[in-house]
Amino acid sequence: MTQILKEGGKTIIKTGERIDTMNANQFEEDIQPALKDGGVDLEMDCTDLVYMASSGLRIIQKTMRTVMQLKGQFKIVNVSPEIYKVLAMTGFTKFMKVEQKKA
Amino acid sequence: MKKEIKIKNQVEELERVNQFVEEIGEELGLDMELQMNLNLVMEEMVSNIIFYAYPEGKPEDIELTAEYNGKELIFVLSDHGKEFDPTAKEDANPDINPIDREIGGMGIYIVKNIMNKVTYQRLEGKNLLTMKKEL
Repeated sequence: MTQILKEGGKTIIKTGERIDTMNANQFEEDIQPALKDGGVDLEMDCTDLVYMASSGLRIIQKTMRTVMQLKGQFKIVNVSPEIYKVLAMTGFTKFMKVEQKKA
Repeated sequence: MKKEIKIKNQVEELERVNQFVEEIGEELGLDMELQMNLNLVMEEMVSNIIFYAYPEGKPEDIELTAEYNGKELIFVLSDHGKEFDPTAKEDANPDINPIDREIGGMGIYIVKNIMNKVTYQRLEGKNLLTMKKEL
């Protein structure tokens, strides 16, 4: 279950356990309300995320574009080491802020 | 060890593929990271076939076999849909900002990175994708 939370000026997308081929469309719909405001300060919190397929990466890629158009900020936090490696492999960690989960 | 699974070209079947890979992981005592990576590889390649190999609405078969020979874990994925070589697709370039890249194209790139060898053959009207991982 994806949750959208507001904290101060920040919008937090708290992901569920999985973003995969089966639920990626739902996830994309769920986060749309967070992508409406100009200058949005967006944080994707992956504390509960244990698995992400390329369908999830595609949504991150699209979200990066949208946030750029909104002149906002977007970062990913609390990523597991395994998912961090996938984000690094596909070039995301180089171009956006991705923070690993603290051990 | 040799195992196989036959599924239909429906998205819900990915759950069975997931279970299949998990059983293999348990049997071979694979660590969590490799387990996740193999799940990822199979999901990427099987979902490609589910979405693109067959005309929509027609139930068709997809087969996946896994074999461990003491050195390599070898997966062979086959379908009799339209000819498609996923290895021929141009790789996503991780040195370019994802904002400036074409959307998608990361599935096969991940697969090639995780597995040691990925080869495609068109044989007797079938697409055969062989993916090897050294253990």
